[in-house]
Amino acid sequence: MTNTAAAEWLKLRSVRSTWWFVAGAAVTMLVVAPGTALTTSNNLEMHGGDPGSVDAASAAVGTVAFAVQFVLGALGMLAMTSEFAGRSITVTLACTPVRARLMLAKAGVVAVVVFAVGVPLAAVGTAVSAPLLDEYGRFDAARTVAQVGAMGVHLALVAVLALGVGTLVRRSAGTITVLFGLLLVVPFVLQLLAAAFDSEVFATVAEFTPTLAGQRFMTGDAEYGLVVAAWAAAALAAGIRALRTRDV
Amino acid sequence: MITLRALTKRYGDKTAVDGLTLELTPGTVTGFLGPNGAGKSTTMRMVLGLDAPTSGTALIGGRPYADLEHPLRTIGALLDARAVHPARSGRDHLRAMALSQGIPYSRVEEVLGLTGMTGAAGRRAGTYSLGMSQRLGIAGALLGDPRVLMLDEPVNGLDPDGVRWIRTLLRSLAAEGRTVFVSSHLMSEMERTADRLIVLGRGRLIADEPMSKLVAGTEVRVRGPRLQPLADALPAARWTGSDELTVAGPSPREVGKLAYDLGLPVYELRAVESSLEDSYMNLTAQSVEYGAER
Repeated sequence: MTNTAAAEWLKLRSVRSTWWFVAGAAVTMLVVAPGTALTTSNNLEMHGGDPGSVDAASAAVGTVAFAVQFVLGALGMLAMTSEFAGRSITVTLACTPVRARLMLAKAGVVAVVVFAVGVPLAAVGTAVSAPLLDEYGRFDAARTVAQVGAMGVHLALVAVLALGVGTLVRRSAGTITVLFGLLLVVPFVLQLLAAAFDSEVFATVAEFTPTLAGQRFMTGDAEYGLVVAAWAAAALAAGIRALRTRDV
Repeated sequence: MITLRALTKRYGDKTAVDGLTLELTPGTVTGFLGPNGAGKSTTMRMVLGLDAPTSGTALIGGRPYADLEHPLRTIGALLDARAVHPARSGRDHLRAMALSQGIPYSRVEEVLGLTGMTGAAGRRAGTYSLGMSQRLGIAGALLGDPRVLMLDEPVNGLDPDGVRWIRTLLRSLAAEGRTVFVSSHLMSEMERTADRLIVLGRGRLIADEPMSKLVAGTEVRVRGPRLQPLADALPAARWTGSDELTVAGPSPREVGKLAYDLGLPVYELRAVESSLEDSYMNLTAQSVEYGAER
């Protein structure tokens, strides 16, 4: 397994697109987080919000949930879809014919890399956006550190989810469609329905979709982290099964 | 070393490989021939476990591919030279393969040197010509110093120098006792490289013969105005023109003497080498999937 993981790590870091995506995630965070913070503080000012009513890291959390997770998710997806596109999957499977082992190695490498990138990104995002919350931001050191850590974990889980979906669909375009559906469209529609029918049921189901569960997880409800992890595990398991049973 | 037993692959109602049974032996270069769509690549893919057979087995040293601990050290294959991530350098491509097998980076440099790719190894694989991609693929197949080599059209895109280099390489690998399995469309090369020939047609085994048998050797061609008595005297002869007979067996001298004894004028008498291409065309005439009118 360590051999396979070492090979997958080399494969990930030896293509320029990996680093472009990391840079893209950084730019996204640096642009969107401050903007989100400004919007939040303006809203609170307009509606007379209480001081210290939002976490210092809240703008960064929002940015992760609605922007950065797509960029780093794409990185996870590409770890598999690029192999099918370039047909290098045949070489990869010739090297590592035990397909479950290959998938677990890829998932492990993707998770570690995205976590290692995500945590600093979350920290920097928090640092640049928190001041823009003015008096409405509440800074608690332990809580902020936990939230930064949770952002790293959420991003890693979403990347693994994307890897699993990418293995099922095999094509980037289709995978992106599924991911946008699952991470953006479905929760949005569910929340619309919840509002339209004033329904608790729809609202609760919405909170179990990866993005909204992740948002609750990153805000501090640790048990919602298990929901996101379950989604990632399910996608990975489905991907492993698909790779094992289908021709290549 | 490679054993196929009743290997079959069906896609819906199309049978790509049909009950193929054969055993490849070490120390020989076995050529794999067949028209396009005959099932050669599919067979090789099943040996590597990339596609699962519908029925039957493909074993390497008695074991399925997935059971091999370090597969690249047992069998090195080149199926598709373009199966490389275009943004990755040739060197990194080989290094990733090496890492997965626990092979040191020094071996990567060795095979790069062997295939003449050391200079280009730092460039992105997407910039390689077909010939360079082939060389990289061959380097990958040699990486694990395997006992078995399986190559699908290795001379594709190589210049004449490269073609000769491959031939020498394959023959030397076989001479070391390795099992070499090569598919090709280049008849003349196949004739000079392979010891044994397996011909596939529409997924079925059509021929499995030593090369010497398939290259029928020399025939005699004789032309003259009245050759009928000669044709009667040589039952194996066949008409290859209105005034021309071709016969395998007797020497030109013997045919010439027979014509003289029969009092027949002869305008032309010569030995003709029957080539692998002729034998191959005869064998596969019924089995061409995507053929032009002959």
